[in-house]
Amino acid sequence: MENKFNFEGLAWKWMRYSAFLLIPLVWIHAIIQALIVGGHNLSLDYVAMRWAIWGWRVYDIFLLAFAFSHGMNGLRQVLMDFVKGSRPRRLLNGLIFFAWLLLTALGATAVIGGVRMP
Amino acid sequence: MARERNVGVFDGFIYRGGGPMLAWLLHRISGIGIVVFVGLHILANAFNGQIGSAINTVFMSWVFQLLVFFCVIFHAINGLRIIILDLWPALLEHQREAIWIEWGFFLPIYAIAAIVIISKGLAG
Repeated sequence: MENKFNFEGLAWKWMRYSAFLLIPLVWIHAIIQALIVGGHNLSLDYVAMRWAIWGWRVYDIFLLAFAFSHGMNGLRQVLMDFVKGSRPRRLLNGLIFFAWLLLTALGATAVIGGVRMP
Repeated sequence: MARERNVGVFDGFIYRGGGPMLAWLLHRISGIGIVVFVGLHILANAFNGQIGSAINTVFMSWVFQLLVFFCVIFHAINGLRIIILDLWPALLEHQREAIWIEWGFFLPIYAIAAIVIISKGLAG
């Protein structure tokens, strides 16, 4: 039993590890963009300027990966309290996995691809 | 287990869980709020058409930022409390005091953030 692969146990640990990293990652992101620069001053030019520095792109990829996996797993935990039966639960797991994969891919494409001026 | 229980939403109003229950509830509400915000944040910027820029206009307003900052700061501090109590279960004896300490951290941090957001927002 101890050596068996346990997804829920791994997910439980992941929530703690990622949370610990997310506190500096999200707070620095929020302080710079919303408090120092100011939400109403954000523009495509600003993002292009920030992403000219590759370190910020790496930072944003980390933020995206940790934040969204933490968030989607948390959403799964909440919804699982309201969904009964193994078939609906499997369906929900599949949907959330698909949504997580799709949005993470979209976000990563944006960060790696850079700013496209309309 | 959770799937066996049969408790309605309104039973929550009768059950007197006090501070820890309020923290649990706010953790869930703020968590769902953040994941919806981050999801729309990614979608709005991936397809920056009309709907995307409309969503961004809402996100950039200072009233909305007050809401997002409440969720993020509360979720982070409450999450830190959960991690600390998980790492040192002996501290669970003082879990009700932990809630008060938590609000003691939350209120000044949120106040500073709110002052900056409001003053920047009103300055244009």
